[in-house]
Amino acid sequence: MNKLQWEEKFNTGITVIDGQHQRIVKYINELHEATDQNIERKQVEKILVKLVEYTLTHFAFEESLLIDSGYQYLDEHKKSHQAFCKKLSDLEDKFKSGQNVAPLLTQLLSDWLFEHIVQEDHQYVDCVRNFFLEN
Amino acid sequence: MKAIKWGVDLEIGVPPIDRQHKRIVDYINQLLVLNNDNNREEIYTILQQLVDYTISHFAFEEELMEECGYPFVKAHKLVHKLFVKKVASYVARFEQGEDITYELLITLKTWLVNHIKNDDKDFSSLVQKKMHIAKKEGWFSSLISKFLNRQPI
Repeated sequence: MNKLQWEEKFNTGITVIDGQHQRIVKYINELHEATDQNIERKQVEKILVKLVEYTLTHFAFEESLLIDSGYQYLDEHKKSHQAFCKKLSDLEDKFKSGQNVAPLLTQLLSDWLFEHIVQEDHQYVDCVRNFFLEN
Repeated sequence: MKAIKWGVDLEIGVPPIDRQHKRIVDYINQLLVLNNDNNREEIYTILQQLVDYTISHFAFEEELMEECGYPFVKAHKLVHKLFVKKVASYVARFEQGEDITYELLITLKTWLVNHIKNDDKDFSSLVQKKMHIAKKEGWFSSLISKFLNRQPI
């Protein structure tokens, strides 16, 4: 899998959120590199912990903005986050049982993360901006 | 595990907040040294100091964000709350005799660096603007005096 590059089209225009998304992508890249190069398990585990914890924190932050701004698709968005968390915990389980997590990582990225950012996150931008930033 | 090197990349340009962040970094670096020596008693002492100091720092920072009208204060506060909860669960496991220091140090280092560089930097320009506008009115110094008793020194 090629390294993921951040592109302008992924930006929501809400700086704090874009920064968080970019960090998640950075960790996924790090994780992919580490599993590719057969780096020792302790190092891989370290990146995995960072990725999971950071993602959970980001989801909490984002959901708080959606709740406050009264976003109408909040439930759907939260479900989508839960699905991603499930993928991450599957990834952790696979890693712990000694399996190769690289294919699952590719799936996490190409099938989910960018799709989620471009499709679902961009949908809330107007609502969040109107509520927080346009007054 | 490497120590966190304090530098301009970790400064957000709000002096009291930068000083507080540096102190938290010092605590984490102290823990890194103690972890190499596996000195549980001292680790526990520093861990408690780190937790107390961080909670006071969060309270100060949250008050400042509110005073400045930072729009995402609620989400930012939630992130603080989750972090405090996470660290408390590590401390509880430590008290049960588990060896969690390595895992905790990864969490502390990563969380703090990320949080400062992204989430804290997001409110810094607003605070700086407010500091600049209110310099003549003594707004910032009055805010500092207001919280002097609570401000982590």
